[in-house]
Amino acid sequence: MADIRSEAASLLRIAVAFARVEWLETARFKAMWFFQFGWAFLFFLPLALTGIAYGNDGFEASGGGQSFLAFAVIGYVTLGVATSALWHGWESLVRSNQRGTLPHVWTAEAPRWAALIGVTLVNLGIAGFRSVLVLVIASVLMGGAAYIVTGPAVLAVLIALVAFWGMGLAFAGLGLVARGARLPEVLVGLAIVLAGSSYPIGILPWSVRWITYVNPYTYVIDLLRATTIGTQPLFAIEIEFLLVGAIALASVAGGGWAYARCERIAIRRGLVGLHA
Amino acid sequence: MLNAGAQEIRRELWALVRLTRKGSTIERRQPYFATASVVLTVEWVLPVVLATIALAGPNGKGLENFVNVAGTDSYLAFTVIGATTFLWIGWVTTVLASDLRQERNLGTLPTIWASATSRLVLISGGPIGRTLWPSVVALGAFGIAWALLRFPMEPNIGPGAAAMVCGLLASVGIAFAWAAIILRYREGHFLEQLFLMGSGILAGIAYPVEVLPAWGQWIGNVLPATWMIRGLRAAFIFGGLDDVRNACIVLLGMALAYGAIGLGLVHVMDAAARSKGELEWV
Repeated sequence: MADIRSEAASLLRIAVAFARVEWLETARFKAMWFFQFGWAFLFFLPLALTGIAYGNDGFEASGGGQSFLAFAVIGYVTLGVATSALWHGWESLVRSNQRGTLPHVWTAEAPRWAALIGVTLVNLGIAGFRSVLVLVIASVLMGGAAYIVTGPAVLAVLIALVAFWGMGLAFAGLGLVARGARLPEVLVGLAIVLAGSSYPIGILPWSVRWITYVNPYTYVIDLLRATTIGTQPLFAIEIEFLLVGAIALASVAGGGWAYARCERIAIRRGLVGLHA
Repeated sequence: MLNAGAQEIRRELWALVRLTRKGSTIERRQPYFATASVVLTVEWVLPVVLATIALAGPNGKGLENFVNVAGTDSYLAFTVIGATTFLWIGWVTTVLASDLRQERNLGTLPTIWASATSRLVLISGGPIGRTLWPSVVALGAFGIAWALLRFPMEPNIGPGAAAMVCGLLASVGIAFAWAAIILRYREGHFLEQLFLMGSGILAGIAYPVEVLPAWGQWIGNVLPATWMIRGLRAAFIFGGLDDVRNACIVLLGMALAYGAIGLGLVHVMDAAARSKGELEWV
């Protein structure tokens, strides 16, 4: 029991240490925080103005619900947080390799996944902070009733974070073995566009719409909208929870496997530190 | 440079060509070269267009309000012109404003800065090369959007091109000012990004600027993006050539004014950056 406790404490220390490094490298600049505040305020203005220019009648007829602004804000906020969980492990490893610090990190007796949790947490915290700001500003401007964060919504976010962190493990592995791997970026870009962040997916023709049904982003955004602003989900809410939970399990298992495999290849080929 | 002789001008132009080629070559060799601009274009333009299709609703049910404010029912052309134009102009501004920052991060800025070539050429040469491909992508995105959505357009290609060139010149003027600020303040690029976001909002990317409050419209009128999008929409949607001409005149005036302010700021910030040792920061 004492071993488990000391192991857990050690993992926690590792995650915190990597979070601290990430913080010092990326998040300590005052201008960055000014940018986050400004971004949160400016972010939804074009959405609000577009909604004003068109009104909500057409959007409701398209199947998007009664408020375009609420629909799009939840869509983009979810995308922002999920994408942050997805990318930052990859970014951190690539940056560390370019700066020549990766071999030193590699010699530490720290499990890589704990380190990746640490760097992801900082960026997730920033994305979460920005998302909360957006929701607060939007709620204030819309009378305070639009975004009620419910228990199921929090649960949905947590499951989604696990899912996208798991996928991010696979991308982090790719970043180790392929210096210029752009395929993940293309796939994620496509997934983001076809997740229905700012439009109901029902407006897409079936030749494209099928992609949205195999896109994990779609279900996460749909679940968040259903649990926050009460839009009609694609499937029953319990089934969507199960679906997102299954995606999370598959992502962590598949991502962990892919990462371990990539790491073995990177070490065998001497790629760790090669790009410094 | 304004008092330069013919030989000096020739030398500066030759330096511009060489720097452009260098910028283009460096960009072409990056692993992100083929994908980054395409992905960004798709990520930026497509959701905006799909959102407006959803807002218009089946059989144009939600268009009544838009037609009343915008004066046209050609909402797809309106949105695609706004989104692709702003993407392009935002790209050019960002690359131009942050090129010196990139050189500083690579440690090559002090060497470049020691060159006898004018600051104007040093600041703009590399970015011209780096934005050639993204410009092609933005134009291609517009062409693909038109081919897929088949929205009606007036065939005023000449006036439209004139509005683009004038808008580009005015935006370059503003970008010089940002390049100067980023040269002096290392994290100034965050402010430049906020400025771009704000100018996109005030330019009316996917909506007519008439939905903005009066003060917002007033501020928007001193920004190049607003007049450039206005000129392009006048050329391709409304067919109002007088409006295109007016937009071009305003944009050329802005190019002169902002260009002069920008270059003046470069002079001031350059001296400040030198005295603070900011050029060598890596």
